[in-house]
Amino acid sequence: MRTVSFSSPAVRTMLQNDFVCQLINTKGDPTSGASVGHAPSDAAGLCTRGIGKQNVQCLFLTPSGEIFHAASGYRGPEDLRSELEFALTLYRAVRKQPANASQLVRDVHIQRLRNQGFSDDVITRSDSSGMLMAMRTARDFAELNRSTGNPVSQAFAIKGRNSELSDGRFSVHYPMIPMQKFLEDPRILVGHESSAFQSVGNGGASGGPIGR
Amino acid sequence: MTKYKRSIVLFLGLAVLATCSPADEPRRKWKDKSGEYEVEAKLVSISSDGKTVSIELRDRQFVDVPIERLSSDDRRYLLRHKRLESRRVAADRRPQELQEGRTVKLYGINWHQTLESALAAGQPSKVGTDKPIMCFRVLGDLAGFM
Repeated sequence: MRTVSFSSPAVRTMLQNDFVCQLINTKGDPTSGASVGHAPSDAAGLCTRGIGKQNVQCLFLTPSGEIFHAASGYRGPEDLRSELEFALTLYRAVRKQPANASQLVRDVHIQRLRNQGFSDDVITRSDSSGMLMAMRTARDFAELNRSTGNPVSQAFAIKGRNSELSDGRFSVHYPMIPMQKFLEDPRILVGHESSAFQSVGNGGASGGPIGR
Repeated sequence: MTKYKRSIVLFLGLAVLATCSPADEPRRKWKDKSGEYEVEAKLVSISSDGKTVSIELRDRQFVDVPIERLSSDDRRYLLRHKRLESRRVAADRRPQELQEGRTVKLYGINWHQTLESALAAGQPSKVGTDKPIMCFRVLGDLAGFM
């Protein structure tokens, strides 16, 4: 994301002007994925939306330290700009209704997931089974992609859509959760999987264990 | 589309651009190819295919204008901007400790190193409104290997 998304002038302008930015290196965190360690000078590899959620998370906090929105996994310049605009709009709404902030954050994320095509039972289900969600969204995408049937693009599309769902469900189930509380167990956002995608030197992707 | 209609569309587009005010680029006058229409606006970015220029509006909206419709002066300005931007991005990739606070400047963005520092910076101040915090959790060193 650093060589593509943060190098986008529009993203950089928004982050500098409208947000306070904080950086956390999650090395050593048991919920992190694996990485082969790219240098800044390496060419950016191909990456799709939502991939690598164990390794990359954008958390949006109020100045009181409560998380009102999360976007985990890779976001390209346009996607990241869109997340920043969404977060800024939601933050301004939260500022106007501080007493009702949790309900507002929950409602806005439910509506966003509905707009993305998720049904209410999937959105509000309390279990966090990644496999169940994957099966559900795989079925949705199988219908959408029946005509094309490209298994690789379908797999990445499913992964990205799963990531959107789990991000939204995080805000639905934990609206305005204090950052310190979140840090006690980031799995409520990044999931309970024991392996994750990782990018490799040639720009492709491979599997890797969590917590290395 | 007739030449007259194209001119109307371009004029409306440029009229909207007149309300732009992004922070990084200077405000300047932009003209269309015919020299007939002129507005003041600020550049945000150039598309990766080099065909469109994006300008930020005062209301935070971005407007895209085909570069081929702009005057030769504007196109030269965009070429100069692209060269300078390439150098600036390369320089930004090197970490630069800022003098005030516990922040590091990377990719043109000031990054706080602790949650306490970021939360303090987001508090309401006399010079502006409060800001939300964007906490970027990443495996690795943003300035080095990751």
